[in-house]
Amino acid sequence: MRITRGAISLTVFLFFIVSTPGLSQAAGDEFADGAHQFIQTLADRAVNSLAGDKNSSAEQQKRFRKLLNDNFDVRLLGKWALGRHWRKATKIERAEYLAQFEEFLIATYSKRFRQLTTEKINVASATSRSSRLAIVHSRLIRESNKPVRIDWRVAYPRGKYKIVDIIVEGISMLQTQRSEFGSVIRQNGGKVSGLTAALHDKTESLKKRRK
Amino acid sequence: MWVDKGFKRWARISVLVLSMFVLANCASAPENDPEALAEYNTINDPVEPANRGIFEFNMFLDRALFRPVTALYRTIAPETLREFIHNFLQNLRTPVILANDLLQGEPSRGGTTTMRFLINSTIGVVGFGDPATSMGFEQHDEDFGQTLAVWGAGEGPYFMIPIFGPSNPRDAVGKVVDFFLDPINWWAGKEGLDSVLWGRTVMSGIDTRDQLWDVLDDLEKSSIDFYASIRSLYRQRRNDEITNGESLDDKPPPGFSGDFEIADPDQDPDQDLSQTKL
Repeated sequence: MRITRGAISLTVFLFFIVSTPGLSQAAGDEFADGAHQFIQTLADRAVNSLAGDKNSSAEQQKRFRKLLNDNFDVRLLGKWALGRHWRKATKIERAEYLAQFEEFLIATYSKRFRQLTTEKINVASATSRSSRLAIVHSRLIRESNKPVRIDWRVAYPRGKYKIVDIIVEGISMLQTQRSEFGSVIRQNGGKVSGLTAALHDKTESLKKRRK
Repeated sequence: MWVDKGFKRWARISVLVLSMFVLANCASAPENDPEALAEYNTINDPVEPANRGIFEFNMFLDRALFRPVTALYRTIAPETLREFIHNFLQNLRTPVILANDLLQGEPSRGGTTTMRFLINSTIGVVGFGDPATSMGFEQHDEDFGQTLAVWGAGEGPYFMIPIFGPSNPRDAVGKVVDFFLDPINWWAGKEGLDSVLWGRTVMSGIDTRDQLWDVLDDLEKSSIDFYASIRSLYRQRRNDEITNGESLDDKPPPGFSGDFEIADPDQDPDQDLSQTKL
């Protein structure tokens, strides 16, 4: 009896020692695999959901807004892009900025995503060093042009895969935005509202250009 | 030295005028706010006002000269021809790329560079074609600025060079060294063939502007601070080139530090935003 109990606890103990690193490794791989699948699906779906320029401009914007909110953590992107200025911003400033940030993303990226309909994304591999953040490596194949290296940073907030950064040939969208936004805030005497106004103006001018 | 005297005098005068302009337009470091100071240090652009001035000048030059000339080039030469020319110019860079491959202790990349040269100079018809890529020898670029970085040199403060654009002391030194590393420059210098030097410089300039055509157009349209975007892009691009595209996995994105509960946006743990680097 005693021996058995001792044997059981030893087995349990050994099980934990041996299997814990293996388990977390497997969890990380599983997470990376999931992220891989997520980007692959998105790339395939983007082609279908945005295909055909027959839709009106308003309809395209609507579709892209849905695609954006389904697949990107827009609030997180906005927060990171603001960096240290987020903390100093008031509640109203934050809300106004985030709303404008989303409009800006739509105005800037809807065209680029529509281009995916004539291009193809080949997802090569995914790596993750934690169970919360993965990098999915892919290549954008364009007709008669060199393939472009695109890496996606994928997180898992609230039980769903979401893109938190896109890195094109080593250039992170998030890092570029943070740097640019910081510069605009500095020029506006440290005010986030100055950035929001600049984003608003840019969004409007991008919209006009499309018409 | 084979660079002619008129050019030397011109260069000396412009360097003098430029340094006066830069010294008169230094940015002042923020003193009261430690976070702002940290940011100032990571941006590392101490002569930003002067740099912005030079950037404006470059943009003016681009609109008045480089862009129209490149537009003309794009009209005259069909895409295939432009690609041939790009390949040819790139093939001419082989000795410089090879030297830097080796200086960085990358013999296998040096092998790729050599194979590309052999294949593209022969089957590829003196470098106009690029059959090497489809044979598994993909193109890569190296320069002495990257070599210095691999050897451990820091980039130093960011600055804008008239006509040439964004740079830093490391990359500027690299550019000069690359010029002297290039056997074509030795040969043209010895033979007194200034036209070869100038012709190649002008053609490379047009080719580079052509390669950047869509990128720059897109970026200028969507930027709210074009100067700051270019500064960030230049740094990131150089870092990517230095690590040959392999820096990614080791570097968390800005804001990701340690365990990020930040994934839940309804909580507000922003402490990790303050210590992040650009």
